[in-house]
Amino acid sequence: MNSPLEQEDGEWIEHPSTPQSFNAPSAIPIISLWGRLLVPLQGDIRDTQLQELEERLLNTIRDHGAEGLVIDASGVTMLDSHLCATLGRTAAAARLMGVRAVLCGLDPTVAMTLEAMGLALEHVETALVLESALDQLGVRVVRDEGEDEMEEGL
Amino acid sequence: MTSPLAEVSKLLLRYVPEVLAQSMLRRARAAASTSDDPHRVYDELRTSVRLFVEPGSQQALLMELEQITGKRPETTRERIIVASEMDVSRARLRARELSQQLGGGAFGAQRASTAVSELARNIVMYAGKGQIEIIARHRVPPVLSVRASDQGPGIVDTDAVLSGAYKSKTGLGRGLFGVKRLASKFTLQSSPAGTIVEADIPL
Ligand SMILES: Nc1ncnc2c1ncn2[C@@H]1O[C@H](COP(=O)(O)OP(=O)(O)OP(=O)(O)O)[C@@H](O)[C@H]1O
Ligand SMILES: [Mg+2]
Repeated sequence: MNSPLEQEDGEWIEHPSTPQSFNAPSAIPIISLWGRLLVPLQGDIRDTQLQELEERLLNTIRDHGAEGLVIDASGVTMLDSHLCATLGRTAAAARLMGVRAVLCGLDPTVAMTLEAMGLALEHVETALVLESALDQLGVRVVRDEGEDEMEEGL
Repeated sequence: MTSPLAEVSKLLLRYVPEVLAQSMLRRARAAASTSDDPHRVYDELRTSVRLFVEPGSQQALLMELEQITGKRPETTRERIIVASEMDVSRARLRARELSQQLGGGAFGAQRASTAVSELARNIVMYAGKGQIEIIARHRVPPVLSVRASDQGPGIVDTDAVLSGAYKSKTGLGRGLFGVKRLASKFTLQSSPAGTIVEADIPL
């Protein structure tokens, strides 16, 4: 099968394949914060990273419980259909274990692209920023003598 | 400040008679109006210079012309072999970089990167191995032409997949449907001998 692109003259820059073991991605942290779990997603997210996270997250919930889960996506460079599906599945599983999940901080260009593609983040509550996500999960800020202090609400 | 075309006109007058200069500019403008490539007008001028200007002064004129118009930006063509998750990451990152080099905004780069991610991921998931070819085109607006090809088992029900009605076992089943929505031009050819998806993403 040939195509217009193949017939294009000019030099091609070639990028060979990289073995999977090369440059293995690091594990995504799970931070425990006022009884909630906070997962900061940063940079380019790989499928295996997200799968590993899902398992570890659900184990953490089983072993230690949590009053909520916040996925902070403010550092995410890109979300495609598969990553959305995996995030949705993780949130749905957490929900089945009795833990509410809120996703926050989605970059406007990521949100606009998902919208343009007709993709929705299913089973996930969303919030604009981390503070409002924590607020949705019942964390209230009490300011005392000019100093910020966190306290549990309701 | 004078416009580049006014400068070009003055430059031509130093080399050729006025009638000829005018006709060269007219040709260039006509060529540019049938194309969305901003450099078409200068390409056409260069052709005219080679055709109508005395050979001895062509080189000097072309050099002066280049000072006004700048060099024609190179069209970049890149072929990325995709066989692992790491390659999928590299492909989408490269799409982002090329979009930015083309002057596409943050949203454009995001759309291009996401489209390439979908196509590269499908190759690894369903065909095991294949390639992503990217051509960065300097147009108005800039365009990233993406071609994903593999020799995998092919897609069974392309109609369902492209209408968004497809029920996937492995994902949302919305990847190709989404790419189609991001593209100004989209074609999908699939048979048991392989799959080729071509998508132009305007930035
Ligand atoms: N390159 C390919 N080779 C063979 N089959 C493919 C290829 N690309 C897609 N398919 C088939 O077409 C279906 C639809 O692909 P599409 O990318 O739209 O959704 P998906 O991969 O199932 O889910 P998602 O992309 O939303 O995670 C896939 O489930 C797969 O069966
Ligand atoms: Mg897919």
